[in-house]
Amino acid sequence: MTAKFLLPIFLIYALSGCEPKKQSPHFIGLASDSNLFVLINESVIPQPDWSKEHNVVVQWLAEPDQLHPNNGLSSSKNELFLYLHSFLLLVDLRTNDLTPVLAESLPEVSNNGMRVKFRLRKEARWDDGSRITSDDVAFTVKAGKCKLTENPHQKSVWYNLSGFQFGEDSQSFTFLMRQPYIHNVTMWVDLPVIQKKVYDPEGLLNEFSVEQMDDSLTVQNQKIKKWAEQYNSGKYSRDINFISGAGTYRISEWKAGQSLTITRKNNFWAEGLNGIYFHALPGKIIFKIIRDANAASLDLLSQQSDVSSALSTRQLLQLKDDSLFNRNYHSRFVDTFFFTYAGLNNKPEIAGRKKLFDQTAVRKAMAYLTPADEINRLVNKGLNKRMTGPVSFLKKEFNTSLEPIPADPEKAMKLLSEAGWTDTDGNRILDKVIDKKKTEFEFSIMYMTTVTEWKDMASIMADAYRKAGMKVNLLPVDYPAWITAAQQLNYDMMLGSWGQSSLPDDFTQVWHSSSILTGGSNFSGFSNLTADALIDSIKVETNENKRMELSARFQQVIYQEQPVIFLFASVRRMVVHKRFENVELYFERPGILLNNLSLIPFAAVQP
Amino acid sequence: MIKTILRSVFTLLLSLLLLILAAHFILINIPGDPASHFASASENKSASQEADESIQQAIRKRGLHLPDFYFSIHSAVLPPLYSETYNPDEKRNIKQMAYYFGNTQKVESFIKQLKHCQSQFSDNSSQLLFRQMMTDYCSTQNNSATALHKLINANPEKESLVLLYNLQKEMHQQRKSLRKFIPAFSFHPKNRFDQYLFGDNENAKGILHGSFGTSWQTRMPVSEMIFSGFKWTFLLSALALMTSLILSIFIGMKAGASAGSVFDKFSSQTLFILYSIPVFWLAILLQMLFSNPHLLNWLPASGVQPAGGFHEGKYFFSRLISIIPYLILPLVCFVIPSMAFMARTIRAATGEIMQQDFIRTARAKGLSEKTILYKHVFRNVLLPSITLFAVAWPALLSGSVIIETIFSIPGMGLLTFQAVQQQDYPVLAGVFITTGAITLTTFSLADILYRVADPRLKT
Repeated sequence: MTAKFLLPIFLIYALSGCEPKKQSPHFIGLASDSNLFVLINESVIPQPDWSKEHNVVVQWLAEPDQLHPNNGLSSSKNELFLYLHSFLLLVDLRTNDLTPVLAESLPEVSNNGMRVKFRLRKEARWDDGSRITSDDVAFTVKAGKCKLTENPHQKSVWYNLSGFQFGEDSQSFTFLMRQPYIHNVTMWVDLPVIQKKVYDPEGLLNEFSVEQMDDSLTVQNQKIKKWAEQYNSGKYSRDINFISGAGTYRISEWKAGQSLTITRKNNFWAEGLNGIYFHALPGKIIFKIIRDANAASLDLLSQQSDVSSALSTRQLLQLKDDSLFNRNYHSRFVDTFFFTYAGLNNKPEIAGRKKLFDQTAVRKAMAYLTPADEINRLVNKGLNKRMTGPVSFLKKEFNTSLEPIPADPEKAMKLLSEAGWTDTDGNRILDKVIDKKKTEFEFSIMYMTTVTEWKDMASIMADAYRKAGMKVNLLPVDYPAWITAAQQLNYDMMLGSWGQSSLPDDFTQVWHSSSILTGGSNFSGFSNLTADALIDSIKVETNENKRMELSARFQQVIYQEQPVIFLFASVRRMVVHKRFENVELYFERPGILLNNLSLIPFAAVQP
Repeated sequence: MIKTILRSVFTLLLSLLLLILAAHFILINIPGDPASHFASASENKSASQEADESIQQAIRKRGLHLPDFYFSIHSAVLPPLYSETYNPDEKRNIKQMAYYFGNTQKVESFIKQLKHCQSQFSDNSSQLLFRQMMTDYCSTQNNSATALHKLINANPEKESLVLLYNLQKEMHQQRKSLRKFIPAFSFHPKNRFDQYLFGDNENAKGILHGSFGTSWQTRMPVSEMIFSGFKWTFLLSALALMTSLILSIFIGMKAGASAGSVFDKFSSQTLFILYSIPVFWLAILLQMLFSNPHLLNWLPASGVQPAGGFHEGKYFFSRLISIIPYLILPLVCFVIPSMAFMARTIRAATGEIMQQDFIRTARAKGLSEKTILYKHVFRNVLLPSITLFAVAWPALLSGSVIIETIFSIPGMGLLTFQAVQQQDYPVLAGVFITTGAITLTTFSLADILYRVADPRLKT
């Protein structure tokens, strides 16, 4: 009988969103936030119900499509590769500088930037105990460059590497580059070195040179074709017995759609070396796939996971009000190199759309009309920092002289009036004669339905624009429709996001006029001769001071032209269980290095 | 009976063939460019040719460059260049231009000349102009026409530009827009449907050779992916259907036999409410109630088995036991709506049967209500139950995107959803055909079961 009465009470309680118990203040810890990463070193009281197993369970929204060394576009693949594979270089996430991993030291680069000489560590070994040699690196280059390898997204990276020279011994070698380029060295932070014996067991590529991999005729050779068929197959993409690298962990289990487990290697070659990529503290790291937001929160409340960056801002803020959550987890909002923008169609004539945003004055007016602070307060709960241009404030290239454009409707109306947009017929909608035809200021804001925050952002923006005499429609679309419209410049205004890294920027893909309608990502149709010239100079300038100066000028040009409205830098919502100590959270992806998570001293646990 | 079985098998095979055809045409008409999922832009534009080559190679390997079917009926103004082009944007531009000018030859020459000019001028503004000319051609006085004039003036020695200008002028002068309504017929012996059926002797074996092909995203055999999703969906569906049928027959018959009673009224209201509850809401509600440390932390909120895997050496039975807690909440979500619907249908059928003459006769013979209900009514209620089974079973087997997403179940619904998002045609086609085949088989089976359950149909 009691149960019958209790059930509705439980249901009402559940429906009310489970009003959490307020936390007691002593759980709020201090983090020593450095400029480049966040260190959580607060002291915690170990709880009896905390697991003492040195394994880490990580929440993942989706698994990678495949774990092929070259093929496939999943971003989660790159995170896993940090543990499975080894790289010549990587970015030291504590300093955002390059750090040698397989390489003995940073490479020697010739004055003209066309020769990059590396030397491998003597101790570097594959899982079978054999030494990692320049022969493996040469094979890695062949595999990546080969015309038959299905990696169109990497081809631009490999293209610039034109040749390979073996050095005086089996540990040294030199890459010959086609032209000077800012990523001639940094390209290696994304490209793992792979074992020739595993990925070409029959030695089919042995008789071919790196240069020949670029040649359309040579790659038609039966041996290369046979190798490519095997290399592109599912065997090297999904079969855990063939996904092998010189990293600290190996895949021990992959339950498709459920979880992926990596296990620490015994006798890892870099054991004892100092560096964030050489440690392997947890015995197992289990990536658990949870697609639903509610399930992810409950999973954390039940301590079923240790680490998560899959929560939304709203979810994490809700959890931070829960004493049980705060008892068990550290949580932080960490800045990232990603940002959100409102794209404006600078070239509407390409898709035959209304010429609304082809004038700089109108684009600037739109920026002044955009209530950025209100959006940040209502949608981002005031957590995200404002962007002023395409370069993150976390980077040294950031032009500090640029100020975020504030919401100033009066200034906006003045600019619109100067551009010829006035309400001539008194219907409260701005109009203008364009190409001899009276045109009303009516447009749509396109956004992806999958990003929940964008709907709210678009609504707030639309309200502000309507007040200024514009007719605004909201256009929610799915990803295929969004990307097609963006690539064809077949939209008026759209919400989008862009990701950067701590590495130097090549602005070609997003801001160069050659990236309009060519499969590039210049979705705003921005075309400016000065900007093009600066981009072309920046990408070959190896002198850091000069490059920073050019970058600052480029940011100034973008600021003046406002091809898009720059909104906010994204924040990563990080959650880490308190049973781990000295947790470091980074701005750069993946935000945390799971291999470095060490357990707190559990001896202090009270019985 | 044999005749019935043979007829069912024949209908099944014919329906399967039609299903494959329907699946093919639905898939090729999904908006968006599937190539965009295995190709992305390059930063270093000097290498874009390398990337383009690689993309083209991937497109050819997947047969995306081929015509859709054995024949096509199209406008006579479409130039041959149209069928030779894969890029959907380029294809659309060619089509629009051909329709606008209605001059096949001139349009083809113009586009070829445009491409020739593109290869001659590498500067960005010229490249941009040439790209704009593919879409901005409706007037000789527009921006691109003015820009072309300027380019000719700046490069008087380039005859190719003058030729391009003249071709554009001629296209406008000789515009025959009504010609686009003239139909033409083309035959394509090598096409995507043919490749899907029979393979291409190189990359794909073809469905008639028993292969669904390889996923474009994961590079895994489609049959393996479908099996992997199917096993979870099958387990949940079979359990859900069994539970639903048992509960609905019990509740429906009892309510139908005692129409107007308190039990009937109560069960009708409850079932109506349960049937009206949105599944996603029910799922969240159950999670908040049974997987919440603040309430009843009895069951896991998501997944189908322990994330860290089973402990080594665990026997099958103990593994099964450890899976059960994971299945309870999704099972409830599957059972409640289907059980509510089935019970309502069985209640109505029972009510009707209870009014029949043979029930009155049975009562006159002095049989107890229990015997009447479970001996005489039950057999007659089986008929609508078979119909319900035939409708519910394929629907359950095709999976539920909502339930599988909320509980992170790697089943058929999620597989389909992901394949749609990634435009992974081989997986989608495999899923369509598998679920279609299951539906057809179930219908045929139901047809046979009707005859077993109702002796009148045998004759």
